[in-house]
Amino acid sequence: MPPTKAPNKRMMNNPQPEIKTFDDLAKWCAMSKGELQNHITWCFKRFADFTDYVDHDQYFSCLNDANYIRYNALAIRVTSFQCDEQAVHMVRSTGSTRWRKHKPPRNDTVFLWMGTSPNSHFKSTAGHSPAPLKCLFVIEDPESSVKGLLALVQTFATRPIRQTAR
Amino acid sequence: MQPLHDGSYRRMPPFGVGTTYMVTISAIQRVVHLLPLMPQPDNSRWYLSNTIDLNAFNLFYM
Repeated sequence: MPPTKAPNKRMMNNPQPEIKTFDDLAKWCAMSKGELQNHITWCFKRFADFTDYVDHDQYFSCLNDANYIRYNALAIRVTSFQCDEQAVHMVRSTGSTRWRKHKPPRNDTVFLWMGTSPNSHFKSTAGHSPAPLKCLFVIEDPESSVKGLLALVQTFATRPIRQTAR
Repeated sequence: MQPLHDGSYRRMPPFGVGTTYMVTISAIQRVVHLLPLMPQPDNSRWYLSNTIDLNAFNLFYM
């Protein structure tokens, strides 16, 4: 099976103005600042082929002064395999806060495509890795003119459940 | 994750299954429908619904 193409248009929805700084975001993600810095730099290196944050001290420290906005939702356009029609999948990550006043918190699970062969990784899910969302945010670094739409995820281990004859 | 001897954290975080890491949203493909294996609130195993729609079915079997 050929690798599935990534959706061609995505949009963050429902910004949360209480998260604006690096410190706020680290607190929200329940991580130390150094740990969060490290996750962001390696995400840029692995997924966007942008290595400056990892390689250079001045860029690495720029992350402390960048602008951050956390969002509650992300709209993903998924193209039908039979035609060019697209469906919008709305995924939400509200952390421990309620979704819509009277509803419980929502942290949806998504499929990640890690760009690896479906024959060698996650065979039972055709190369996709299921992962619940923990945080959705946008980073804008005015120093290096970098803007990134990032998601913090925690992956599940997948395997088929075999039925046994009685 | 512990800092290095110089106090920095610049080393590759684990990207394996069961770990927490960061991705760009271009790596997100679609929503997943999970059904709990056990009804208890502390359930940690899930069925992955592969027949939620034709796209999901095609993703697994075509």
